[in-house]
Amino acid sequence: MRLLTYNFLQCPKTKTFPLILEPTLVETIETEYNKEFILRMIPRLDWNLVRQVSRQFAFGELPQVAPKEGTQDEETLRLLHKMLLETHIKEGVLKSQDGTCYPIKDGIPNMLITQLKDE
Amino acid sequence: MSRPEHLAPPEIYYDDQQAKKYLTSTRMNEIQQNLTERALELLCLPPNQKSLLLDLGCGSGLSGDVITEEGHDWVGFDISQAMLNAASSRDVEGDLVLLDLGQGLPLRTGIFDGAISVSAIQWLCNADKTCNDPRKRLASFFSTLYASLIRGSRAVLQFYPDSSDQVDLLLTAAQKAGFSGGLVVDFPNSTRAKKYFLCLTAGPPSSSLPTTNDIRLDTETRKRKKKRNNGISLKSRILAKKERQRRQGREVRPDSKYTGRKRSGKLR
Repeated sequence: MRLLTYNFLQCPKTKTFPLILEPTLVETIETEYNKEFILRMIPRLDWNLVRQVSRQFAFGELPQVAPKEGTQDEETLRLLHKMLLETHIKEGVLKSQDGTCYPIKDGIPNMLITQLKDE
Repeated sequence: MSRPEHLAPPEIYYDDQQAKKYLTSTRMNEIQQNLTERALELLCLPPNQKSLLLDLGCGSGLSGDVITEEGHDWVGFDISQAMLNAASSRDVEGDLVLLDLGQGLPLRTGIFDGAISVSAIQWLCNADKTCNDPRKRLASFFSTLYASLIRGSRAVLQFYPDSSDQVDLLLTAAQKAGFSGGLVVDFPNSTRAKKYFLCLTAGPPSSSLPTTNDIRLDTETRKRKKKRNNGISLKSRILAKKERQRRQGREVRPDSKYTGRKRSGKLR
């Protein structure tokens, strides 16, 4: 799972956002840089979480507000590309605020809600 | 012909053995590929722009490969661990998440440029566990899907309906969630080749929406279009993929002059 997808996920049970990410294995896989795509993703991102993730993964401090549309700040865009599209969480846990754990195995988060029988 | 939906729930039906079938059967690959191409066509995405798509019931990622080839990014959901493992072993480009579509999509609002689904949503009409009510499951599926899409974007869901009642069930559920749109039927005169696509728009209906009249019978135009779309040759795509896998330290067959070539007629 890339960090881009992590930014979009919320707890399937309680609908709370964000989930807490505790990675144990992280991998970087390079992909082609597409400036337009990053620019289009920025308004859809939760910027607070992006900044938090940036600190968590030691990508450095990001500006307080998200870059505006049509920004020419190539440096930030490259950083976002590297962070959101090239950083893959291979193993780890996603934790909801109510304590539910969603394990990530082989890059695939398990978001199934286990239902109790005869509820 | 027995329908897989009647045999077992999807997370049990799609086991390692089924997943292997999807990896090895060229016939299955071809069907999935054609369906995905048609679904993407019906999505009417803006040209020359990388879009972010949802693949609902992505399975082993065959449909995802087509999305990647068309130059888009995707996130795939499926309920079968075995199928997702198969996708992950094939090294697909999109992200994979294990979840039950009937429990709703765990996504924030207004994220995706579109959604496709190949042969998956008929599974949602089954009540295979006592706690499953298809109506409720469909309602939570469609409402969360609606929310996760950007206003005015589309979802094209191909499915194999069991009966006309099932078509009605799906259409009503989609409309209740706020979607507009309807059903597109390809090859309506053939029982075997007949394909159903639920074409939905998140938001008010647009005039260019495909209707049931939008039936196509000629594969000729589609083939021509396909050629135009793929500017990159198959060979260079394969070489790029092998290079990527080499970088990841995987075992990859060496390149030769035969890489990416079609088999000669004898072997086919």
